[in-house]
Amino acid sequence: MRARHGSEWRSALATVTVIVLAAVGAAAAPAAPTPGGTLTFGIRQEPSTTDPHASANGVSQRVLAHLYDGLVYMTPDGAYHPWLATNWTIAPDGKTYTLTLRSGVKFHDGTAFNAVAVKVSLDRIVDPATRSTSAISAIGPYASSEVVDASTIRVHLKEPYSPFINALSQPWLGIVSATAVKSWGRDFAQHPVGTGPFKFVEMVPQDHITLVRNPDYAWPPSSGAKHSGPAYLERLVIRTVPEDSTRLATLQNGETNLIEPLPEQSVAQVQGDPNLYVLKQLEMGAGRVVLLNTQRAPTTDVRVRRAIEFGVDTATLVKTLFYGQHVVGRSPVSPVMAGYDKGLESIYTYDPAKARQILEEAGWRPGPGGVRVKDGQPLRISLFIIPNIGSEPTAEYLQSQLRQVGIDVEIRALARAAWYEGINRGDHNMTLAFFIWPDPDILRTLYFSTNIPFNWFHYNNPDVDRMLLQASRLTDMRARIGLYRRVMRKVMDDALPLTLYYENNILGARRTLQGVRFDAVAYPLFYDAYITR
Amino acid sequence: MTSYVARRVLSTLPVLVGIMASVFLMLHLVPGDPIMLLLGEGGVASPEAINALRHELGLTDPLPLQFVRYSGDMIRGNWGRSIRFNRPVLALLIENGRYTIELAAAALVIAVAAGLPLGILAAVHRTRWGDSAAMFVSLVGVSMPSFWLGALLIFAFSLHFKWFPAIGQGGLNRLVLPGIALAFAPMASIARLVRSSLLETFGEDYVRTARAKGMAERVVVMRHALRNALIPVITFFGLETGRLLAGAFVVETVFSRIGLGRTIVNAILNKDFPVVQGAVLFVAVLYVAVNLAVDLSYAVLDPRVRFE
Repeated sequence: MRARHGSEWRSALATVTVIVLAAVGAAAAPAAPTPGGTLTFGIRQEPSTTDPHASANGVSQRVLAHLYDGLVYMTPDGAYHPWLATNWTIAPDGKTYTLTLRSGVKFHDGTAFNAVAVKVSLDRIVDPATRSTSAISAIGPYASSEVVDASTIRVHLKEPYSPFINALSQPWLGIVSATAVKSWGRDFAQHPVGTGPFKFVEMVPQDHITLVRNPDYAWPPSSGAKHSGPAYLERLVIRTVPEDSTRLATLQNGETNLIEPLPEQSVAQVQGDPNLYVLKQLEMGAGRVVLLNTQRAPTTDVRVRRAIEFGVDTATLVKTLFYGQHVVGRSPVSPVMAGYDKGLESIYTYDPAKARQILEEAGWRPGPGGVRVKDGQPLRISLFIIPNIGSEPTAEYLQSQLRQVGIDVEIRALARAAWYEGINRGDHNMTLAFFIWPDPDILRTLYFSTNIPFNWFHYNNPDVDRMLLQASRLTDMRARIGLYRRVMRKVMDDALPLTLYYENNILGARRTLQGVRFDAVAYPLFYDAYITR
Repeated sequence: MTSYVARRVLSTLPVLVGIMASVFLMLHLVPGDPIMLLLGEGGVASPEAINALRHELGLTDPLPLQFVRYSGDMIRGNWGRSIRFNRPVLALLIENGRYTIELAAAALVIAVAAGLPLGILAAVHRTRWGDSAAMFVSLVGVSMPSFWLGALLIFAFSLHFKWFPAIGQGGLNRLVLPGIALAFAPMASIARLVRSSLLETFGEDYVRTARAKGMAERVVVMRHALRNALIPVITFFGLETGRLLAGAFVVETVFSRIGLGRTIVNAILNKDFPVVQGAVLFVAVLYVAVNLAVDLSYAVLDPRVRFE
C-alpha cells in the first residue's frame, strides 16, 4: 500500500495546535467592522501556486482558503459542519459518500456551483497531469464521482477511508470552476476561479499576490464565520518578505499590517509596541519531532532509544531557543488533535540519571572522551538535518544534551534531495521533522510499515499496521480514537518519536487590523478581518 | 580594430559552450532523483505522473542526445517552462532580470560616484587626514556585510525617518536603500583601486613633466593622471557588474525585491530545475557579455590594446 497521506511540510520554524485566538493585551473594544481597506500580509515563504489541486505548499493555504470554498468545514474543535455541501451520508460499506450541495452559489466567473464542478475538481486531483501533491495525499483512495443531479454528487472510494470528510475540509480540496478549468487548462493557476470570499487579481512571482473582495459572496460556513455576506476587506495583498527583520520593520512602519511568522525572539518587542499585537495558535499535527530509526544500529536497540528520550530536556529547549513561545510536550500528537492522550506526556521526562542507567544496563560503559563504548564500538548516532531552515540550533542542542549521557551525536547537514534519499533509505539514526495535519490518520502516515517516505522510523509492526488500517476504515470517531490511543501508547513504549514541542503559529498584527481567525490547523483566515479607522 | 573585435567575440564561443555543458550536467550531478523531488514531497505521486514528467523533461533519452537537444533549444530561445510557475523560463528571467539590472546599475552609479572622489581625495591627500578618512570609510565598506548594512538602512530610513519604503521595487524611492546597500562594497574597492592606481601614475614621467610645465595640480590629476589610472578600475567594473547581477541575492532578499538572485535561490529550493538551469545560463551569458564590452572598451580608452 502506498502512502495515502502527505504531511504538511514546512521548512520554517513555526508550527502546531488549535486553542484560542490570543490577542495579547487587547485594547478597548474595537469599533464595529466596516467594509473597506487593504490587508497587506507579509509572509516569509512564497505560496507555490493558486491552484489548490497542484503542488501546493503549506503557505499556499493563505491564498487558497480565500479564493476557494470547501464542501465541508472543520472547526478547531475537530467537528465537521456543512459548507458547500449541506449534508452527506456514508454508505454502510464506507466506500460511497453522497453529498447534497448548496444551491445559489456562484463562481467568480459567474457560472453556477453544482455537482459537475465537484466532479471536475475531484477528478482533476487524481489526474496525473495536475501533478498534485497535497491534495492527492488528502483524497486517499478516491475512485470516481457520479453526478446524480445538479445538487447531488456521489463519490466512490476504492476502499473505506474514514478521513475522507476531513480531506474535503482541507484547503487543497477547494472546488474550482469547471468552465475555467476547461478554458485555461494548464494555465489555470494564472487564472484561478473559485467561489471564495476573494477573487484573484494578479500574482507577481517573488513579490505579491493580490485578491479583491467578491461582492456576491453569501455562503460562508455558518459554524465558522462571524458574519455573513461579503468579506469586509476590499483587498488582500499577500507579499513575500523573506527576511525576518525586514518583515518586522514593515509591520512597524505600516507597510504591512500583518506578518507571519513572527520570529519567537521578536514576540516581546511586538507585545511592547502599543500599535501592534501578537496572534498565536497551536498547530494541529504531530508537532516538531525527532524520528528515531529502528533499523540502523545502535538505535535498533529500544534501550538506546529510551535513553535518548530520557536524555533530552525539551522544556529548556523551548525556553532558551524559542523564548518559551511553543508548548512543551512529549506525546505523538499535539493536544488539539482528536485522540490526544494526556497520559502519554509523562512516559518520558528529562532524567539523565535514568538515561545513563538504561545505557549501563544495555552494556554501554563509559569510554574515552565521555562517549560510551560497547564491544569496542563507541555509542555514536547520526542526526540528519537540512541546513539553513533553522534546524541547526535544535540539532546542536540535542548533540550537547545527549553528550552528557555518553551519546556522541554526529550532525549530518544535507541538501534537501540528499536528505530525503538518505532517510528514505534509512541511513540515519535520527532526523528532525514536523508535521501539520488535521486528522489523527497522520499516525498511519508516520507509523505504517510500508509508508516510506514519512515512516522514517522504518518501523515495522504488523499489530500497529492492522490497527492503523482498521482505524482508517471505521467511520465511528470514538472507535477510531480507541485504536489510535493504543497505537500511540505502543509507539511511545517502543520509543519512536522524541517529540520536542508542539508549535504555535505566531503572527504579528497592527491594532488597526482586527478579526483575523484561525482554521483548524492554525492557518489564518481573513473572511471576518477588518480594518478600523 | 575590426579584427580585434572579431577575435574577442569569437573567443567567447568556447566559453559559452562550456557554460551550456556545465549547466546541462548540473541536473544530472545533483544527488537525489529530481523527479521524485518534484513530485514526491507533499505526498506520493502516482507512477503515471512520475513517468509523464520524466518523459516531458526528456530524462529518458541517452545523455549525449539530451545535450544536443538541450543546446538546440537554448540557441533557439526555447528555455523550457518553469515547473513551479508553469511559464516560459526565458520570459520569467527577462522579467525578473529587469529589476536586478536596474538595481545593479543604481549600485554601480552610486559606487562610482562615491568611490571615485574618495579615491582621488585619498591619493591627493596621501598620508594626511583626508587619506585616512577616505580609507577608513572604504575599510568599513569592504568589511560590512550587505545584509547588515541593509538592515541598518531599513531601521534608519524606513522605520525611524520613514523616508523610503523598506520593501518592493519600481520607482526611484524603492531603489535608493538597496542601491546603497549593494554599492557600499564596490564603492570601497573602487576608492582603494583609484587611490593606489593614481599614486602609481603620480610617479610617471609624464606627470612630472606636466607639473614641471607649471600646470595646475587640478589639471594634472584630473586630465593626465586619472585617465591612465582608470584602466584597472574599468577591469574591476566589468568583473563587479557580473558579481552584482548574480550576487544581489542577499540585498534582494533583505529588501524583498524581485530579482535574478532570488529567482535562482528560490528555484533551487523549489527544485524548479528548468529555471535553475536557465538562470545560471542567463547570468553567465550576461557576465560574458559585460566582460566582452569591457575588453572592447579598453581598445577605445587605450590605443595600445588594439596593437597588442
